[in-house]
Amino acid sequence: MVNTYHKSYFQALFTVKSMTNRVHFHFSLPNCKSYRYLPLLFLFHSTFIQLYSQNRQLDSLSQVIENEKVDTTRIKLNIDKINLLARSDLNAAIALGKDQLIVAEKLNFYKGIVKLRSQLSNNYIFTGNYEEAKAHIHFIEKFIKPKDSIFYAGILATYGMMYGVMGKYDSSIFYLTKTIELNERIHNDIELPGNYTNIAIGYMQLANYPMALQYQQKGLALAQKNGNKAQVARTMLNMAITYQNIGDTLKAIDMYENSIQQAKETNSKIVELYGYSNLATLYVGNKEWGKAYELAMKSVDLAATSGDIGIQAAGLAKAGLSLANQRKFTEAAELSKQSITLAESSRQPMNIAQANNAMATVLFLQQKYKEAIPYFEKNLEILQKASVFEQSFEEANKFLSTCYEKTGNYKRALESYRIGVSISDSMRSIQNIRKATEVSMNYEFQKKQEIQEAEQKLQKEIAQSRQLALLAGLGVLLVLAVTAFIGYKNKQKANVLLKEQKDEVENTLGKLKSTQAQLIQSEKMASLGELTAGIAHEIQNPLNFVNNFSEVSNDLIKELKEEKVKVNRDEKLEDELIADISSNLEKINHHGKRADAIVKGMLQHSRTSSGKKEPTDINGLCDEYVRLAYHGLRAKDKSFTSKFETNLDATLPKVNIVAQDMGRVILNLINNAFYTVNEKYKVESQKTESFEPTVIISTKMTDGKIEIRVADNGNGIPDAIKEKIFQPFFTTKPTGQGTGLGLSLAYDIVTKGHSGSIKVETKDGIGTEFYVVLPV
Amino acid sequence: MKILVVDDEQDVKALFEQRFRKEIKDGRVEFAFAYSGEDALQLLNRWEHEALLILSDINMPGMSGLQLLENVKKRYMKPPPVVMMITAYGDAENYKIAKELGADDFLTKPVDFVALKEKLNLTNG
Repeated sequence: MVNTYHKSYFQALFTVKSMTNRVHFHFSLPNCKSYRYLPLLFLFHSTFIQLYSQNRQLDSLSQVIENEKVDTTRIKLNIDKINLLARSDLNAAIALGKDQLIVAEKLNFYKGIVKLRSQLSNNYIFTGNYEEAKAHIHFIEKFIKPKDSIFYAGILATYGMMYGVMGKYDSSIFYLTKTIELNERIHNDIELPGNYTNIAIGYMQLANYPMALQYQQKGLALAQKNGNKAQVARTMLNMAITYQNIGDTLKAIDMYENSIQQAKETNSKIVELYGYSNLATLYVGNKEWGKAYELAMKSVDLAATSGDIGIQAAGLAKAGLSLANQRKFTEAAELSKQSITLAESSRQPMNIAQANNAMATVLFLQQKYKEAIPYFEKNLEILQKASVFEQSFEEANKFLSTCYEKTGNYKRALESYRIGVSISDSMRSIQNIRKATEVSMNYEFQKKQEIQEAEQKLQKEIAQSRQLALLAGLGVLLVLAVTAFIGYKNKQKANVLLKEQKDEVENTLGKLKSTQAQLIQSEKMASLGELTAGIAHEIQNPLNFVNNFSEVSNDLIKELKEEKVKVNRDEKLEDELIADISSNLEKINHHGKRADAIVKGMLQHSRTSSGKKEPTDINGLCDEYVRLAYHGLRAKDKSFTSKFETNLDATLPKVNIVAQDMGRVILNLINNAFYTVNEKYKVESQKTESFEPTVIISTKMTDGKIEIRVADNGNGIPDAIKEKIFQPFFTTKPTGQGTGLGLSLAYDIVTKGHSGSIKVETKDGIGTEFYVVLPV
Repeated sequence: MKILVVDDEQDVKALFEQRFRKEIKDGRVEFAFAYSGEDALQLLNRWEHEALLILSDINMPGMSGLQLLENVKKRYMKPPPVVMMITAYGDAENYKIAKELGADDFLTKPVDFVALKEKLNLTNG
């Protein structure tokens, strides 16, 4: 009985590491969060061959029991049978145990009662029936004779394990400390390695890594002394996890490799499997993709042969991630797909999350932002449900933020970004606490060593003196108290630092937001600046006509008056004069309105958009802005030159749009077109004279939609940056000349404000065409 | 006297024809209109040997007035015709460049036709 419990306890830990770098506590059944592994996994981990031989053992044992005449011997044999049964059928083991307990109590068979009740409590723990388990332990505690200290230690250990399984680590540690005291006193070297391993798990869960490591080292030394290689392999695996937790990756890698080696020698498939899986996770964290892939695939192969779908899925996800980072996207996508399928069939949420994350990353790295979004969302949804706010959560949020940004959803982008920031904030807190832990750990190790040396000296001088041993024990306690105090102080310091960092991040975020608003305003002002020069020129043309046509009309009227008083009136001339005056008045009116529209346009552009949609003549808008843009650039850059043509569909109906917003879109497209043809012209005119910079603006109706096309024969957009042009702050213009917001605002206005679409067709060196399609 | 007016605004034709109504009627002046720098050059090529005066706007799509000026003064005609540039009010930069390129005179918008006629010695006409 006592032999088996600690094994189950710590093998359960091994199931731990397939998902992330953290130790998950799988052996806590009902209290545990849903994403953790099937807690009973350890019961089935023995290979089929062993099971087969167990069945044979069971059969022959049953036969022996049948033939046994002595009652107490039959009970002893049944105790062995229960041990065998527990490995394959807990309920059968419990049933037989209860049955035999009745017989043993009738016979008042002391040893039988103690062993059967221990077995029962142990098996009840594994089925999650803690009340029954506790009842049996209580009973034994009172029932047991003082001379049976080994048994008593076993009972304490069972308590410790039970509380560990329930997630009550403090209680677990309390009982295991007692167990260890007892077992150390009687030099129970067979049980001690198990005790050490189990208590280390408790400390690990409480993030007390120094204590965990200390017990693991003791356990390792003892397992090595006992020559139990399988135990050595398991202990090393656990130690590697501890090292990984305190960020000592070099030691962790070393431990994993050693553990895997030992596991191979003893054919401990599960240890080997978890070794590969954990090591792969570690390399992923280190971004050593080649090694990560190699180990992940090893874990996949081994998991497949042992039928562990969860780890297989996790391994495939890690392998996919590693390949994607090596830009082998086709294979990476294939592996990630397999991972998702397997993870879903395993029904383990954390595996599903990891698989989705792998697929999302594969797509993300290929800049398939839109496609990556649902996978990231799925991953984050699961992580959030499981409250796993660690590095993977932070990274996924940051990636997701980028995805939203690239697809123009800035609100969501900011949201994800903010979550990511807040997580990295709390991540830092974990790191700070780890740092604090390391500090106290160094201190403790040093002190420990000194005390050990002192202890050894004392033992030599006054051999086996209990009082002094007690003193040394007190010393240890004192050191522990001091260390705990230092650790606490460090944590406090870390917390203060944390608060400062948090404030800083919040402050930065606030600044970021206001900067964003300022940039959008400055983009408006920048294009307004370009406009003003255009307006100054443009307004002079209509004014020229208004002034001159009104003056000349006055002259014409004077002439007409003179003609009227003449005796020989020239009626033909009079008619001509009247017709001219009339047409001049029309022209004055026309140019007056033109000036009015220009001024209004300027005011509208500088004002914040009212967001009100009104029936608008798109042709008029195009015509107005192409002129403004042209003259604006002309005024700014004397060398600027370009032809422009308008090809406007006169049958276009008025469309409900926010005129100043759409005007800004058109202005931006035209400005860009003029800019690029002019850039090309500057280069081409040095070589030949055949290049004629040309910008064409056309509108047409197709399939009930209005299409605005702005085409240029400039340099075109290279493929490399084609994807980026709609991103905010992306600009090819020299620093200070472009805000990089023009096209990104245009994109927002068209897609979000008007449910339209904007696309670009471009050929490097030949030209670019932008299409804005608006629903009528 | 033949005057070529270069401006991308179509209404300049009506304006000039009315402003110089009497002068045109009397045959003292003849107007031609071009609505772009390119058009202007084509016309000038056809009339290579006719003495004329060019009145050109500066801001036009395609070839600008300054480019036209440069072409006229440096490449095409010998002796080059008189070129008068119409600049926007206060546009010192264009004024300077045009001067360097050999512009003979300047007008500012809105065009003062009384002043223009004085310059062309048509005031008493």
